[in-house]
Amino acid sequence: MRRALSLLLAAALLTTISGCRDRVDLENVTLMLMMGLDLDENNKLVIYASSPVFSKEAKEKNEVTQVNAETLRDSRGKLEARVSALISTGKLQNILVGKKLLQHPGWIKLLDLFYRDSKTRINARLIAVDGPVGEIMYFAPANKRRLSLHIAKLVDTANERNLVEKATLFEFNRQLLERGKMPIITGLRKTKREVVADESILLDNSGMYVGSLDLEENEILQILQDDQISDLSLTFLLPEQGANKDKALNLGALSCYVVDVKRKVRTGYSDGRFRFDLDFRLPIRLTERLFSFDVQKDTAQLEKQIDKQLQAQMKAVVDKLQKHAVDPIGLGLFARAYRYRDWKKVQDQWGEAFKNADIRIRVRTEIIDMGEIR
Amino acid sequence: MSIDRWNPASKQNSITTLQFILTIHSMQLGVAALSMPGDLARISGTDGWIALFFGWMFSSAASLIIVQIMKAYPSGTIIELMAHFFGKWTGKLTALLFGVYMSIFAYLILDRMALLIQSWIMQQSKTYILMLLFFVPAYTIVIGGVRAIGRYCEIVVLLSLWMLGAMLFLLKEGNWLHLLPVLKEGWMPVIRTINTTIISFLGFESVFFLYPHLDNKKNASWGVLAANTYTLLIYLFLTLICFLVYSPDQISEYNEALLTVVKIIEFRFMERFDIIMLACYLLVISKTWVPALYFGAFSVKRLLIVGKPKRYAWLFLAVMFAITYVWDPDWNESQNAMKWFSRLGLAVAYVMPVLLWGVLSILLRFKRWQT
Repeated sequence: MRRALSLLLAAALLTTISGCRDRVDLENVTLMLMMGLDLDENNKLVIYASSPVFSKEAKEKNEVTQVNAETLRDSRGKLEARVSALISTGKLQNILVGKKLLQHPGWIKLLDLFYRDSKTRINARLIAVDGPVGEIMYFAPANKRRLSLHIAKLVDTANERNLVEKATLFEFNRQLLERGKMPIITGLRKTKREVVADESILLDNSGMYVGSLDLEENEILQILQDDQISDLSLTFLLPEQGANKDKALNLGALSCYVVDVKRKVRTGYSDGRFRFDLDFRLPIRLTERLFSFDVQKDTAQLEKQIDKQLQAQMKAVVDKLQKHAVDPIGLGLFARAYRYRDWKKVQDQWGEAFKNADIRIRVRTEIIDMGEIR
Repeated sequence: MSIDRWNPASKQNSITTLQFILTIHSMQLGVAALSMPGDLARISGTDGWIALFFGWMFSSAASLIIVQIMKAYPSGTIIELMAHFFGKWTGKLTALLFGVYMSIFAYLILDRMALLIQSWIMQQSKTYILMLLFFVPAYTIVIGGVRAIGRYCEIVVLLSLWMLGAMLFLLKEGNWLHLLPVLKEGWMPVIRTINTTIISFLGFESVFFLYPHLDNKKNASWGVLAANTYTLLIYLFLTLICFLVYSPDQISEYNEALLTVVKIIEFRFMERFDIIMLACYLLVISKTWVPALYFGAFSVKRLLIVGKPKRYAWLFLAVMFAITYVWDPDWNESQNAMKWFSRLGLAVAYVMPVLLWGVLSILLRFKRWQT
């Protein structure tokens, strides 16, 4: 009797499982892998959604739709009325934001959904698009896999080679709310044949578009940030070796890997402006040298020539950042950590304080390996 | 005649020193850890971690005092102790106080746990149904008495150690500059944070009930110290990780800072690691409210005397279910109830032991009481 009773009870408990209403079958899910936000010709918000199609009958592997909506959540219903099943953002890979939207004040508020809704993937990449977002969303190159996954891989690997910055939603939020650092995100553009990730987009602390860095500038920025991820390869044209940009072949060129970045930052404050002394020591490994040179004997001479070039390049990047009054290097963190009282005065206008700061750079490279041949 | 699993005086219900330590620690570490980094940062920025040491100091002192009190009557819980020294009705009153206190403790945490599952994993399911899923295991542990609870806490603590290791993945995302300068605004903000940290150490008052079960009572003092220290180390570790990863102004934006930060851990073979972590963390949370449920039911049984332990366990679970079915507290209500409850907790766990210790040490000077 007792046994029957407990069995009955266990069976009764089973029925409660059907009370969990969150069950969704995979067939009923449309996995949104890429989302696009842009403003159309009438300055209305357009939301694009790209999701994979798993049906054999479908000719295309991607399902792309666009709607006009007030907010991102508002777009979900409209999108669901168009795509095959229920939209899920749990696998979101990329969020493409049009440059036009980036120049619109308050656009970052739109992202609220991603941070509030616990179902969204917070590691989705935030990518700025130079040009209309729709062109990329509907782009289906024949020699690539699904564009959403292709872009994800493209951005990841370009970032791994230090060519572009990469910001996930979380990373973007962190930089945005960090008063001592400004966000910098990947920039993407479309050419006739392919999508190119060769820009990093500078934003200010309200998320507004400020400017962009190209590949070389971003590599330099990675050194400045002491944030190089893997092999950082630099190519220098040494005027001492007869390099000249106008020639067809530039035999005064030299390439090297930066093995490590050793950065020392000293922070000072005087006469109402910050002063940063950035000291870099870079062990490098030669990978390419088009001119003849006795590296073993005259190491110091060659190192000096490289230092001069690199220092000039770094100075140029810092000048550009200062001109735009944005600090993606994060020198504000140093200001806060070591000069807190002075920082407090400028913490809400760090961009301006950074612009006026006196930033001095010293680079010392050290050739640790000349390669297989002399 | 079966053994009475709920009898503190029985040798069969004794627990080892390790179980004693881990049970106290278990009751301390629970839902509070999820929101604590954010709570600390909201009051004193990235200096909040310093206040944890003060919380630890206060809770250790209070736990040592409780051990001193319990030494006066080693074979019984606080209820028997009060009845012994101050008479039967004081004993009943104590049973009522702890019955209410521990039941609210258990209910609020169980409810918060259900809310967490609801908010993070199953938004559309009802809270009471999510609660129901934990009733059968909770029931079996509660009727097993302190020994079953001690063993449960032991195994859950061991099984959840890997989560601390997983958190280490986050260190490479961190920036140590966030912590500098230490004491950026002086000691005042830190002192204002102490209140929050003291509350997060609540749970050591379980010594009132665990002490008679401890097999080697000489270990009680360092046992409670070890429990508090272990809790402190875990709190420090989790708080520092959050402070390093979040930028200083960002962390105060998040409700469950600890859970959100786990979202950024990803493996090639698995995204949304936070869901796995949360599911496993539910075990950690369960070991805060299951002991509290036992202590609550135990106290009420002492109050009413009649009935078998099983009935009390069922009754308590049924009432918890009914309350959620009728009231169904939302996040704000849960937040407010916890805030209100923490005041009660301060009184029961910090103020009461000090007063009781004072009264007892005066009483014990008279030989008459030393029986």
